[in-house]
Amino acid sequence: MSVNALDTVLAAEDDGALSRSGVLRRLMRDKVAVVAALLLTLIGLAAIFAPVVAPHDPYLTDLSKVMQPPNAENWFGTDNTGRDILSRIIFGTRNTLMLGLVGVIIGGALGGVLGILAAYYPRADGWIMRLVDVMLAFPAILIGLAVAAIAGAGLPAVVIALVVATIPDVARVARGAAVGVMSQEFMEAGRAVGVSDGTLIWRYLTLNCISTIFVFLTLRFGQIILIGSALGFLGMGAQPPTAELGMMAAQGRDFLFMAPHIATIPSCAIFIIVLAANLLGDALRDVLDPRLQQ
Amino acid sequence: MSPDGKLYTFKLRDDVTFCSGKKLTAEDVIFTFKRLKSPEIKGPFAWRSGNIKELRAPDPYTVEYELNEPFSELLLQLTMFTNVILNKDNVETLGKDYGVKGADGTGPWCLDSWQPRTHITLKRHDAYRWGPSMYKNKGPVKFEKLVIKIVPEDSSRVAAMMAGQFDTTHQFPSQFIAQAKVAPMLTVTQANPNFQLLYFGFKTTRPMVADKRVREAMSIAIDRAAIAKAILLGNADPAYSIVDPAALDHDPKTAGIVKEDVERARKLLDEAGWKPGVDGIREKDGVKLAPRVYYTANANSARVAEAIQGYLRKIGVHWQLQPWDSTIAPVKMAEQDYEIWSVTVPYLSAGDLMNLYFDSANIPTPNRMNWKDPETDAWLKAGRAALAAEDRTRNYALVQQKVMREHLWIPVLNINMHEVTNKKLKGMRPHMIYQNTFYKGLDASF
Amino acid sequence: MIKALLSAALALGIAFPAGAQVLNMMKGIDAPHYDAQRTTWGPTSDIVNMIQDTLVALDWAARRRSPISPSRGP
Repeated sequence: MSVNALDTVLAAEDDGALSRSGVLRRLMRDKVAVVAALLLTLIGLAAIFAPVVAPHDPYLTDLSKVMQPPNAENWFGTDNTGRDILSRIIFGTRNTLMLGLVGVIIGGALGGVLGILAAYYPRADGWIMRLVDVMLAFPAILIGLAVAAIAGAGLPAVVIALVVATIPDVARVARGAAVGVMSQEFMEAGRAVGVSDGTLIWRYLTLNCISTIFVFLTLRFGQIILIGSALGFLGMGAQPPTAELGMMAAQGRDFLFMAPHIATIPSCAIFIIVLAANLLGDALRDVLDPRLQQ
Repeated sequence: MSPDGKLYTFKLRDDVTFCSGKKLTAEDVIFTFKRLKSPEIKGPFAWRSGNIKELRAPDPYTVEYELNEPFSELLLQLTMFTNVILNKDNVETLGKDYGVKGADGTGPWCLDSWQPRTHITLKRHDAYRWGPSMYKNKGPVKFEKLVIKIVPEDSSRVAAMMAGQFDTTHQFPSQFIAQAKVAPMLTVTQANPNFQLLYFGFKTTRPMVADKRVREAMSIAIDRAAIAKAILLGNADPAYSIVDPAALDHDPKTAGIVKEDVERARKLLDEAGWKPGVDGIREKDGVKLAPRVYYTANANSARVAEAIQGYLRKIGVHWQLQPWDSTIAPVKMAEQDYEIWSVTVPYLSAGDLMNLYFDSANIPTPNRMNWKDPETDAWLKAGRAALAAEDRTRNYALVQQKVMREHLWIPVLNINMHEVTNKKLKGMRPHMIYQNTFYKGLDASF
Repeated sequence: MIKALLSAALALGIAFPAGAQVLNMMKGIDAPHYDAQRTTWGPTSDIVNMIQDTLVALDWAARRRSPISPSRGP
């Protein structure tokens, strides 16, 4: 019975922080956020339906029409092997977004678990947070380069780098949030009535921290995409013929004087995605963070 | 040279001195080659100085260079930088630090200081008078100093040359040569002839490329002229044979073995049992025709590999490209778990290129094909031992025909070498040896 | 006094740049060492060819020439 009562408290807490309709309503009031969200949705849809949306085969090379500037047939022109840049941007966005998502989801999950465990088990706290500090000391790009040097350049190297880049910050945020929840009376009460550690961690602690972690991850998403693109730019990520925005920008760099569109178009695409993700993340934080709601 | 081809007698000039002021004598020459062959040095290019039996100095300016077996290319090979003459005293004094803290020589420039990965400063060797005969100026050089800055980033080198910060570079990125040619302050000169082959090699012991029909299909499904023009922007010539037609001992009969023909490529793959799969990639016994291709990142190979990947897609072959950082590429290419690799190799002659790559003694590297063929080995040996030029040419021709009919390599491009200089610098003529277009730089002046 | 001398020297250095006698070159990659015998590496070879000589030299057309051993002319 007392457990049920606690659940009610929990639900109330949840409602306070993440009342869905309220969040949406408040978000809608922020014009910048709306534009960013629309843009991201559009980009996301194009990425999901890339094979349908793309006007040409993104892998079809044609050396008889290399480095053509934007024209009626190839809206964004062609690259140095004669491939259609628009189609490659669409497929490239798909890969870039996928990379960011995978990095953020895996990194967020691992970081969240570490942070919550650190908060729940004070004895493990020191160890876990030192580990996190160590991870924080290595720049993500360096880790990506090291993995790529040993195991070969490719998507796994980038995913590992992105995960490592995500874990420490998420762990800290999760720990901070979880420590706050730990001091709540229902945790004490749950322990007193003999609720198991597993239930306490999952239903009481995790569910109460998850919105904070989620907001943090949306904020992080833009940065993660930027790191992923940077690794692609350095040649450590996806390999040809796979399109990836950072790699495309790097390939165009050699032809910056002759055919500037090859490098600038993918760079603009990265810029727009990262900007939209950051703006939306900011808006979400403003809406969800109770401390900023006055 | 003695009639049996085993004894060479070198008469040395008696006026040659090292930068340190010491006179060059036969003692230094003998020391140099003994060191090169010694087990401590394990010189990877030691073979270039032949199978030495004994080195003798009947007088201080004569060296008798005796081989165990004749080596038809000895004099050509002795031009390579790994056979430069060292100062015995200098090497012995520096010990392990030789080449790091100093390196004395008889060249037109003297090593002054070296900041690794930053700059190297050379100063004029004032006593130098023994320039090779093709230079108008026999020495000394017309500059007091030569400062060589290391600028790793391609576009930074381009910008620095355009801004006039430097007088010359032999490492101007080829994709910017077109700009350099039209830049008002720059002169671009090209080494001619020039032997520098960009090829893709097949590891014949890997099942996917063990069938020579599969290898030929990949070689004839591409358009080399288009690659040279579009990918290298004209800074390369299409290569249809492994040895350049202008090189010593090139076999003209190899013309026509590589005949680009996409339809025939498809037919060869059909015959070899590779049938198109649902995704367009050919399959055989459930295996996709998707060979792994290794090369060094950020080089011409990377761009060319991508272009070839595009061509091969059209015949149902998927190249899985795997670039490696230049520091790790040699290690990875020495392994056995890939099908194809690419390298750009500068060479001096047919014999130079083929003895290195196709002799079974050089398995696993540089004979990464794992090409073990008694006939090839025998012809290479006969070519090396030939006393008459015709014998050498004939044997090397047989090797060229065989390895080309087997399609062990896809010869793709002969990459041009350039020296890009500021207009105020005169007298630069690029040399082809081992990508060292500056070579001695004796005729250069403002 | 010393300061004045130094600045005078500096001014001279600017007025007469060493450029006239210094050749400035650029290369893309350095070598781990400049001991020609222990490598096959291109980035070692260019410097080695500047500071040291071979018994036989190669001319523009890949024919042999002799720098320090005249007995082996073409």
